[in-house]
Order: sequence, then structure tokens, then C-alpha cells
Amino acid sequence: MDILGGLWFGLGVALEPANIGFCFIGALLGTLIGVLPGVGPVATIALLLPITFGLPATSAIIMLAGIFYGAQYGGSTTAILIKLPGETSSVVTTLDGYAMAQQGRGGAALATAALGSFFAGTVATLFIAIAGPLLTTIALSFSSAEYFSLMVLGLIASVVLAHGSVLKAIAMIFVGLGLGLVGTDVNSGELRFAFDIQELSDGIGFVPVVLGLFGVSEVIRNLETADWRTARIAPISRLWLTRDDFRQAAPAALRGTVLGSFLGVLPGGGAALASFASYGLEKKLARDPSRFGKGAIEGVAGPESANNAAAQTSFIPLLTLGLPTNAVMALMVGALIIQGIQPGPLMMERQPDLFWGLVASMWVGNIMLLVINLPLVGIWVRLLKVPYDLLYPAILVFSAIGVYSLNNSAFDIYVTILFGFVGYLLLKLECEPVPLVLGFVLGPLMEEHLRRALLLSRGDAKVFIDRPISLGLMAVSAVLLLAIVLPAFRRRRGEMFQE
Amino acid sequence: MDAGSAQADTIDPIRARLLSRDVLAGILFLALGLGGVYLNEYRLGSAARMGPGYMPMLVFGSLAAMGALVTAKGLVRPGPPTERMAIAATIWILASLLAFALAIERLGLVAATIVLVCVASLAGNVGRPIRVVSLAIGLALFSVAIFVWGLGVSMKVWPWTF
Repeated sequence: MDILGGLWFGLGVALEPANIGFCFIGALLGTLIGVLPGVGPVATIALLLPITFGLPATSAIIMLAGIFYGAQYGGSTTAILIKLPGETSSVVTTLDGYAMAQQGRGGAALATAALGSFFAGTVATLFIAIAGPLLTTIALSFSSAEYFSLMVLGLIASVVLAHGSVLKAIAMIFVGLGLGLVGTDVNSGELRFAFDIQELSDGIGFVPVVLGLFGVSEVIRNLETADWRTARIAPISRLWLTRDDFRQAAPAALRGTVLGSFLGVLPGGGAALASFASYGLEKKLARDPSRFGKGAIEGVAGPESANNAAAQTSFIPLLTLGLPTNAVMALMVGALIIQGIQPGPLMMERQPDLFWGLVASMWVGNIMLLVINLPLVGIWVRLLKVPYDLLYPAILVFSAIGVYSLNNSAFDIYVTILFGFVGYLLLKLECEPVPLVLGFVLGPLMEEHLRRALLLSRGDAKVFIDRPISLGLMAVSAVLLLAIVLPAFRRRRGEMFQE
Repeated sequence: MDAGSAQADTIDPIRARLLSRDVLAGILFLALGLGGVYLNEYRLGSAARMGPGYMPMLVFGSLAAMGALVTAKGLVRPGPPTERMAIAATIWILASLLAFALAIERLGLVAATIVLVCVASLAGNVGRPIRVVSLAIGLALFSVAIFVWGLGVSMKVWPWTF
């Protein structure tokens, strides 16, 4: 199927009434949680996973994806109006967006963010449609050795390109891999690390772990710092751009889109990195960098376009290689496996309606988000007045019910409690939970590919450097690891997340 | 574990160093890694024919090594002290979930939700009891409407149903 044919076919799938409905629900929920600080896309998607059991695979994925990119839109609204980023990817938007709102240009900032995101979403959709089939062709020639090397690269890149201590992040990967070992060994049928607990024979549940790490521990953390007063909201001016605004914002949005599209594909890159990088780029290119932080419209247009583009293109490694590059994509793997679909290069051929339907639905979803966000911004602003003391009991109730409904088993809630505590402890020790989740998801696959690769080579580990593609992947991993030791690169990486 | 940032400078430097984030994290990783290796009672096999114990040995061995590395780095170059944990909030939040887990199978969804909200409200500052109770009842009805009637999830709803 060629690209245009694929997109046309996908549009047909995305425009089926049921799928339009699920896309809308996803976009709406995404905006909602983007607006509400302290509720992120990871916890929300984990919460909704059990509900998607009964849905057709395509509808389920369309809805979950909508939550993810919808959150990028919603997150910017709070960043601009009350200087509170709904998501990490809109942290930089608080700098110039809030400054604009205080100068009475809040409406222009909101319009810039929404229009920039829409433009970026459209371009990113095309980017996926073009890059997807290309990467799939390459991936089809992969054997176990290449897959293993690819996963090693994915895991290493995801810690080097993210922020925080690399040593601790690598250790967290191993913790995740270790958790993935619990349960029945597929090869020998032997139970490993199950300690005679019957519920552990199928392994530790993915949803309880993720909801504990990202839902419950976030609630505790937010309670520590929660501001119980209701937010003061800057008044919104006319929701449109002047000719001058547009002239300044458009090139920034274009640059942000290109930058975001590429950074999104990298493991560990994703929306947050893209927005930081774009802000840095705009500041560097500006004739007068001192305007930044005081209401420069480029400082909103660039990062907001970049984060939306990256959120969408981070689906590329998942859809073509079966490789999740961030926590949301790890959840998507979970959702696909629940549906009996192994993510990877065969998906495009075997489930064309899922691949192309998802890609086309992103564009449809972006149109919906434009409508949901711009004219209806007043409704979302009112939601900001819901105080956290009413919100967190609701989060806990939905988490508990969601986890329990998986298997109607209280054991899953105990797992959530344990990982809620572990997650909070790890936050205090400054250990990022994302590498743990990636290791947990990839663990069983890595073991299988390592086993097969070494079985074929009769135990010779040289197989990973004898095959050219595998050698290339391993070399990139080694370079990334070496680079982190170099002081110059370390400093750049530190600056990137400073701003 | 109360090495708050203000106190860390005043208590003796060796203790502060031992309680820094990196050292505590390193010790945690080291313990998990060694524990995994110790519990790995499964057949190792060889690289060409891996037994069920091969991968665990690889993973937990590496984890222990990383833990040692993180600890050593933290001792040589002390990082920031460990932040104080909000112990009361942690206990109430986890207890509320535990109460839900214990109540759901015996008393059903409505009672479990009300118990969860009441216990969880002790962690924050929800205020007057009437506010807590109305939130609890509201959330309980909302959950029944969405999950049981809306999505058709089958679970015990009232104490007297099965």
C-alpha cells in the first residue's frame, strides 16, 4: 500500500462513527488531564487500559493515543494562564506564555499554542505515514541479534537523552528487567521468583505497577507541596493573533515542528526534550534574546509545536519496530498485547486498519482538539478552580476500581500499594521511574531474543558484532555511553533541561 | 530518614554523606541485586542453551554491580541530601487503598469507595466532615454509574448482593 493510498484507507477507518467517538473521548480526556495539574497521561492511560479490553483493537488504540497528544494541548492552557504546567512538556511555555497573559495577550498566546500544535500535528501525521513504511522495510530483515541490539540501544538512549543521573537510571532499567522475570519462564515452564504466590504465576501485573508508580506516588508527592488556595487566573483577551504576532510566530512554529518530529522518534526524546530544545533554538536565533521570558511569542509557538510533533512521532518506533521509547508507549504495548497483537514490523501488513487508522485518526483528533481548546477554553479554565483536595480522592478511587476490575482480585491492589510506596521512595532518591517501566516491558522480549541469538550462534556472543546492522546499533549504544562520560556533553545535557 | 536539607549541614558530615540520595539509592540497588542472585535457585545452563536461571543471574548480577557503582560515586562525590518524606500522608494514602482492597470483596463497591475517601481525606486538608462525606457518597454513586451500569464491569456493589 503506498502512502497516499494508506492515508486514504486510514481516513476511512478513522471516520467510522465508533472510531470518531473514541477519538473524541480520547481528545477530550487528554485535554482534561492536561489542564488538571497532578494528573498525567501515563496514569490516565493505565487507568483506562482495563476498560479497553472489550473494545476493538483499533478503537482502543485510537482513544488511548488521543489522550496522549490531547494532554499536550491541555497542558499549555494552564501553563499560559496560571504559570502551572499541566505536563512536563509545557514547562517552558510558562516562561513566555504566562508573561504574555500578564500583558493582556493571553488570548494570543492560547491561539498560538493551539494553532502551532495543530500545524505540528498535521506535519507529524504525514511524517509518520512516510517514515513508518520505510522503517518497517528495514525492520523486516531483523533477526534476534538485531532485535536484542536494538532494545539495548533503545534502553540506553532513553536514559542518556532524558534528564537525571545516568548511573541510577541504568540501575533502574535492571530493576525493571528483574521485575519482568517474575512468573513462568516461557522456555522451561519453570516458575521463577513467585514464592508460591499463585497470583504471581503469570508475572507481576503491568497496570498495577504503573498505576502505583505514576498514580499513587504522584498523589503523595502532590500532597506534600499542594497549594490549597484556588488559582488566580489571568483574564483572557481576544483569542486571535495580530498580523505582527503571526509573522513572528509562524517561522518559530515551523522550526519547532521539524525539530520535534525528529526528536520524537529518538528513545527518551519525546515531548519534553523537544520543547526544551525548541526554546533553546528560538532564543539562539532571535535577534534580541533578552525579549525571552518577557512575553516573546516565539517562545510559545516553537515549544508548543515541538512537543505536539514529538508526542505523535514517538509512535514511530512502536509501530514499526515494536520498541516503546517512553512510558506512554510502554502502556501502548500493554494495550496491544491485551488485544493479542504483538507490536512490531508485521503490524502494518497484518493490521493495516490499525496502523493507518491510528495515523489518520491523529489528524482527525488534532482538528477536534482545535475546536475543544480554542472556543471552549473558558470551560477548561473553570476546571482549574477544582481544588486538589477534591481531586486526589477521586484519583485514588478510580485507580483502585480500575486495578480491581482487571481480574476482580484484591491482590492487584496490594501490588499497587507496594509500588505506590516504592515509587514515592524512588522519587525521594531521585530515581526516574520511566527506565524501570521500559525495562519491565522489554524484559521478557529481550530474554527471548538473547536466548535465540545465542542458540543460533552456539553461545558465541560475537554474533552481536558480526552482523552489520547489529554492530551499528551496538556501536551507537557504546558511543552514547562514552559521550555521557565526556564533560562537554554532560554540560550541554545539563543546560538543555536547565532553562 | 530525616536528613532535611537544613539539618544535613549541622549533623556530622559522615552521617550526612551516608544518608545522601545517591548512597541510599546505591545501597537499595545493591541489596536488590544481591537478593536476586541469592534467590536465583534455577538451573543456569550455558550461553548456547540457557536455563531458567541464566537471565536472572545476568540481570541481578548487573544490578548489584550498578548498585556498588552508585554507592561508591555517592561516597566519593556526595550529592544532595535525601529529602524528608511526608510520612503521615504516605501512611494515610496507602491505608486508604488497603481499606478499599479489604472492603471490596466483603462489603462491595459503595462501602469500599466511602471508606477509601474517608481514610484518604486524613492525608490532605479536605476540611469539614460534611464535605468529606458528601464527596465520598458522590464518588461512590458516580463509580457505580460509570463502572457497573455504564461499562458493565461485574463486581459486588452492595454489602447484601453477591
